[in-house]
Amino acid sequence: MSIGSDTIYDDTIENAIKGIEASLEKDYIISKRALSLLLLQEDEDSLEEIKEREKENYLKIISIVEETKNKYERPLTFVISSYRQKYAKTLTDNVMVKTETNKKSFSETLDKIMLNPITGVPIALLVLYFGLYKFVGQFGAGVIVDFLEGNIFEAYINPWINNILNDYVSWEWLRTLIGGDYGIITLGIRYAIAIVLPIVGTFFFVFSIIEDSGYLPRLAMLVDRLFKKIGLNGRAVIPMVLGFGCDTMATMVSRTLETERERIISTLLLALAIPCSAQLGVILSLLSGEPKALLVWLIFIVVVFLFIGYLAAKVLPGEEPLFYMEMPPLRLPKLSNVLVKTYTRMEWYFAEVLPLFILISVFIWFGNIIGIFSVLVNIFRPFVTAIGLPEEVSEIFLFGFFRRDYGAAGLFDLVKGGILSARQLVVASATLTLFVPCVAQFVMMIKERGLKTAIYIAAFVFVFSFFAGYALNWILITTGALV
Amino acid sequence: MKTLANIEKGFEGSIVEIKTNRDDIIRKMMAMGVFPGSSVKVIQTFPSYVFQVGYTQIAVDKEIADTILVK
Repeated sequence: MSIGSDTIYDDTIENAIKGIEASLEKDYIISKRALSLLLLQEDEDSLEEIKEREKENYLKIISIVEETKNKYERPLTFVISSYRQKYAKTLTDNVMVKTETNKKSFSETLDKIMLNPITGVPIALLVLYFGLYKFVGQFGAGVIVDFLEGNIFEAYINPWINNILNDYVSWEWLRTLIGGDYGIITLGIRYAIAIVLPIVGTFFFVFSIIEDSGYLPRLAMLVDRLFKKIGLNGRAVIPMVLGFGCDTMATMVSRTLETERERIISTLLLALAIPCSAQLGVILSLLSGEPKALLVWLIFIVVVFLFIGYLAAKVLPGEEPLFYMEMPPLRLPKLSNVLVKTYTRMEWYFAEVLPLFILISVFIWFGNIIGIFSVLVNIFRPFVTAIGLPEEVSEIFLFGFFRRDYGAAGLFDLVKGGILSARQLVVASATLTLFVPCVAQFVMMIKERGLKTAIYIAAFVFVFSFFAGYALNWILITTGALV
Repeated sequence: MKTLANIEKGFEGSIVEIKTNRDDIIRKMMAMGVFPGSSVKVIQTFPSYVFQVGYTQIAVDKEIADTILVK
C-alpha cells in the first residue's frame, strides 16, 4: 500500500479530486492531487492562484467544489481531515505498540507543577529571577561587563589608543573621531563589546535553554488569561520574553501573531514597556544597590505595561484573539544545541549592532563639531529637568534616542560619577525604559507595521514616557517614598 | 451536553462534536488532531484548559473549550 493511494477518501471526494485534476491545465509546484485537495478545502492562496492561472476552467473548478460541498453536512476541511486522521490511525496501528506504564516520570511530575498556577507562577518568577536577574543582570551585566570595561578597555585599550593618537595624530578632528570621550573605539566599540555583547550573550543563552526545554508554551498557557485583558493571547508571551533580549528582534517576531490588532498592541508594548537585555542589565545592576528603588521601578513598569495594554485593547477595533497551543513534552535541553543557537543569535546581533554603534559615535562626533548635538540636548533639557533630573541626563536621552541600551549604558557612566540620588535614579531608569525605542527597533517597526503606525507609536511613546516620568517623580516626592 | 469548559479536571471520555460556526476554530482543532470520536483527557481547567488527545497535549482558552462537546 502506498501513501496517497485511493483508499483515503470516499468516492464523492475522490471523484471531485479527479474532476479538478483534469481541469487543471497548468503546471504547479505541488502535485495536482494535492492542489485539488487544497481547493476542495477552500484554501485562499490556492483559490487565488488558479483564478489567475486557469482562466478557462476556473468556473468549472469552482462549481465542482460547490457541488461537493453541498453533499456534506459539515465543512469539507472537516470531512477531509477526518479521513486523513482515520488513515493515519490505521497506518500507525500497524507499526506502533503502546505499552501502558503507571509509573510517573519526572518530566510528567514537573509538567504538572508547571501547569498548576499555584506552583506554576512561583516557578515562572524563579525562572525570571535566576535566568534574568541573577545570570543576565548580575553575572552578564555585572561580572563580565566590569571585567571587560574596567580590566580591558579602561585599563589597556582606551589609554593605548589615546596615547597613539596623541603621539602620532596632529589633527584634533581625527583624534576625537577615534578616541576621547565619544570616539569610535573608546565609545562605540567599547559599548558594543564590553557592555552590550556580554548582556545579550548571557540573555540568548538563557533564552535558548528555556526555548529548548519546552517551557514557553507552558508559560503561554499560564499568562493567557492576563494577556487577554490587554488584547493579546498567551502566544504573545514569546515575543514579549524575547523582547527582554532584544526589542528589535521581538518586534520582528511579533509577525507570528495572528491578527493585525495583536501585532500592533505587542509592537506598542515592546516599544514602551519591555526593556531589552542591554537596558535591563544596566538598570538592574544600577538599581540592585537600592532594593527599594528596584522595587519601585519594577512596579512602575508592570503597571504601565498592563495599563497601556488595557487601554490599547479598548481603543483598537477588532476581534478578541483566540488561544490554542500544542504543548510539546518537556525535554532536557542539549548543551550543544543551546550553544549553537546562542552563537547564531549573537552573530546576528553583533553584525547588526556594531555598525550602528560606530555610526552613532560618528554621528555624535559630527554633531559635536557642527553643534547640532547641543541644540538637541537643549531641546531635551526642559523635559529632563521637569521630571526632576539633573541637566547632564539630557545627553543620555539623546543617546537613548539612537539605541536604548546605549542610553542606559550612558546612565551607568553618570552613576559611577555619583551625581544621582535614589529617586532621580529610579525616575531616570523608568523614563529611559519607556522612552522612544532605539533606531534599529524604530526601523523594524516601520518595516513590520508600516510608516504611519510606527510614527504614531513612537510619538505616543515619546510623550507618554516623559509624562509618566513626571508623574512618578511627583508621586515619589509627595509620598516621600524615595529621596 | 457538557463541554470542555464546564467539566472537572481529570475527566476522561470522548469528543462528541466541535460545535461552532467559526471556520478558524474548526481548522485549528483539525490541524491538532481534535476530532469527534477521539478520546480525551482533561489535565487542567485553570487558568486555561489543557487536555490530551492521542499523544498530543493541547492548551486552549475558554472560547475554544466552550465549543468542544464531550461525553
